[in-house]
Amino acid sequence: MLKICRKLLIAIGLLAVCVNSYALITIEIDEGVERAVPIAVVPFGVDEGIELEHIVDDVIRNDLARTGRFDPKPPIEFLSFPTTIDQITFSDWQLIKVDYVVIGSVSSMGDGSYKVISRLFDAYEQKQIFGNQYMAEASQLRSIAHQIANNVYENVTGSKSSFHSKIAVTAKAQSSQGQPEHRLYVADYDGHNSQILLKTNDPILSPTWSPDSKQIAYSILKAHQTKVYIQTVATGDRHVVAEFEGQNSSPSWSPDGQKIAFANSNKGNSEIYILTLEDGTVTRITNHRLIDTEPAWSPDGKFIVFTSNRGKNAQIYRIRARKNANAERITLEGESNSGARYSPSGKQLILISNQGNGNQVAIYDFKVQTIKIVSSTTIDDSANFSPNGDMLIYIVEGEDRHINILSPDGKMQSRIQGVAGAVKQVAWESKN
Amino acid sequence: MQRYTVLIGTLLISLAMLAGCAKTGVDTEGVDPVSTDSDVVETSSVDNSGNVIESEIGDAAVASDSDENVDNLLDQKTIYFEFDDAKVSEDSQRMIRAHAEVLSDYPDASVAISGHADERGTREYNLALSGQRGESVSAFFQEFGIDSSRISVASFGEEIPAVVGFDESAWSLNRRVEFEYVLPN
Repeated sequence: MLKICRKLLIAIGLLAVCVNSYALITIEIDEGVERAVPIAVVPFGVDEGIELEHIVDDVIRNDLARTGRFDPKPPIEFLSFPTTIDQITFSDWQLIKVDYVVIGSVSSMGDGSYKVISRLFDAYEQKQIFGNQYMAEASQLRSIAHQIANNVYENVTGSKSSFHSKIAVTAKAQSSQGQPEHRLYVADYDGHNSQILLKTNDPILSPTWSPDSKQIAYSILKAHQTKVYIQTVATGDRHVVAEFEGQNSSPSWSPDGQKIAFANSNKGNSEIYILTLEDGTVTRITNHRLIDTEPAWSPDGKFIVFTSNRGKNAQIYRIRARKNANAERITLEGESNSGARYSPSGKQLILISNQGNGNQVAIYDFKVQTIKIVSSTTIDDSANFSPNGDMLIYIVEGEDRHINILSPDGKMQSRIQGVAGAVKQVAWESKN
Repeated sequence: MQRYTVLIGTLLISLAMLAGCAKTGVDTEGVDPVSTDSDVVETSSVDNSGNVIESEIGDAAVASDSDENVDNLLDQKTIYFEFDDAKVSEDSQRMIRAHAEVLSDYPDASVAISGHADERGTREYNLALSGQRGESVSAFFQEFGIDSSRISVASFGEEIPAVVGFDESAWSLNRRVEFEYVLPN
């Protein structure tokens, strides 16, 4: 009860009152206004001679901070640096007003493997919430760190994090012969451990994950016939699924994994179709003389949102995922809106909105029917939600192309490194 | 062969103009080609042709049009667009008409159109927009008497910028449709 009380009151900024009076009030707190939880991730103890330094605690701190739901305090503020359970002094943490403390250590086992110990403490209840031990190779330490961050996230928020998820990234790089080369990468969500899935001379467009994360669909741009491919991540095998006359582009996987919505542009008129993968049947969804493209499925599979310039400029429309349905315009504000994708809850869309200051990442909320700009950059493209919806990822175009991760309120922005070349598009897997 | 020298000459002048453009401080590095499915005349094969009589262009063109400076119109083969727009300006329509009249004299030749967009906006939308621009230009060629069977339209989205740059001066040059005459083999 004390814990619930404290959390509620922290959220409304009355920590001192709570600690002193133990007053119990029940207030329903909307997820969106919850304050970031102050937490201390103490630099992990590392055996001398290990060159890993602070890989593990850095990863944990970055993971937690990116969601905007945690506020990891900088170690310079710490009064002590415990690495084992007997070294922890709870008053040190209460003084600097952190709710939780993460400590741990990495020790070499001498055979190339490491033992990682991590513990989470509640600073006010003065007790351990979890303690875990892992054995790992050096190459697995980042993954272990994501796992520890996930354990913290899950214990504090009650839901699973996206720290273990993968992204697909397309980029233009140079081949070993110095030729331009288009690449499809799969990487950890934070850009590390990137691996090349495909290299080709022609641009790779619209990477999109299958719901089970086993396959990635994309299109390869050719002058007269762009085709949609499906590639299996584990084996690298790929096959064509859409090679209809004209440009086949913008694939989007249905939530049940059985269909792919895509755009086919024949005679300059881009329309949206649904391909049933099992039997190859195709159903036309839109029918308008102007552009209809960028289909994206609702999480329940009933609707498709897409971009059309039927109202002069690009705007987002929604249509039932079947033949002869009527499209309904969703976005009414802004000079243009495009590239919409549903949030995992289905209650919001992430999109690229131009409200007069350039193309920015924005969130459209179906309930209040408004668009809120969340990025501070102005040449944005390819925006996605993380699998659990608590982070956003997008591409910043221009001279210095890069990937940014944002908290959904836009307050936390971090640049992702690790993928070589000029990044073009990014897709976050949907499976958590 | 002789009858196509006019076309080749036009092409050469266009190329010369393009080369002139490139010297105005525009950086074209990093621009790479996308495979095309049709046999668009390569720059190199034009250069190898040799027998170009530039004066013939003016003669042919003046004979077939009114007060317009047709020479000038035939030198152009790029149509520029407003942002997020596929409308062909009246000036560009006149340019297309001049080319369509030349093409009318050469029924074996066809025209290969490629549509492009600037990098702003999503890649997918830009691919569709570049196709729409290409079709707008194709529609005018058809209006001026060129049968659709003689026209091919390719769309490249934002993938092949004419110039690399990150402001309106570059973007305005990248929102374009280019076309080339395609000669029979």
